[in-house]
Amino acid sequence: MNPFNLNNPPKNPSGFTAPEGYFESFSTRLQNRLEEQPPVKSISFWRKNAKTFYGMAAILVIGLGIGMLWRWEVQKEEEAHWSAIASYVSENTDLTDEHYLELIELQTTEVPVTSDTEAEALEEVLLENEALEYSITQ
Amino acid sequence: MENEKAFIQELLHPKTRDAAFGKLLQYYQKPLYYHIRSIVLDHDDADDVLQNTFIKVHTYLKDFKGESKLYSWIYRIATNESLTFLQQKNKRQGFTHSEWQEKALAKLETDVYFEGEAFQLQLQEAIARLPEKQQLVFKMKYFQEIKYEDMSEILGTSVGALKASYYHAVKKIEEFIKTN
Repeated sequence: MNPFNLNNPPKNPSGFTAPEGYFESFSTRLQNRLEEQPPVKSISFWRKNAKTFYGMAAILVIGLGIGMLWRWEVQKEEEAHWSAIASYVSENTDLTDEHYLELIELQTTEVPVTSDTEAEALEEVLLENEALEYSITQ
Repeated sequence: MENEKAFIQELLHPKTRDAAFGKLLQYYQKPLYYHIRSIVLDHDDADDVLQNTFIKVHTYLKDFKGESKLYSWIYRIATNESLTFLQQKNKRQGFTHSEWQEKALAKLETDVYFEGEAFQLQLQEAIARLPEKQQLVFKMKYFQEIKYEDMSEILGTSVGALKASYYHAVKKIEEFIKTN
């Protein structure tokens, strides 16, 4: 037996053969299969990239969800913060609820100031807000 | 294939498509068959994969952008179809790739469509012991005599890496044959 030499391969090195007449009949068999194939539908841009769009939508929803959750947490924290302050104030000072409300009103009153009628406007505001005048003068 | 650009135009033009596809079939069916057969080993499996390959070529020819040679594109389809076929077959039957290879080689001894002598069977056994990618490179170079540059386009691996892979494959096969 001749020793096998990779550098000098035999005529059919793989040893594989095909049945007789295989290649002659192949094109006919293939043609039959091609005729059976359904027509290839063209896929729209959106369907073709559906995965990408779904992924982006998911990221957007998750991002919004996280944002809303964060805001809610911050709000809760702020509410707790003010609630704690209110509790402290009510427990540790003599301020009644009425005084407290007055202070809040004072803080939210806007004092319109113009260069021309500055003094007039101030006087008007002070007349309308007795509590403000009281707190400024005391 | 001479004047590839003109031939691709014929393949894409509705009036000349069928005749051109017939020419393509005549030109590539044999070498593609043996390329596929060297991967899947069994004739009936090779027949299935060969048909699937040409159906894919027929279907996606309109999307062929000419970035590679037509030959490389067709061979890439054939290679991927063969590998996918084996993966799916092994998954269905619950085999690993090595288990499948062992069974396929055992079957080769009595295969009507294998007329290799003892040393060709031994060569197949030696090839089966190589890593999968190395097997592919060896088969394409040794059995199909595909040039490294074309193989590089087909497999997406550099020419240098392919040459190294082939060199190591040859060394291992020679060692196996010497000791067996």
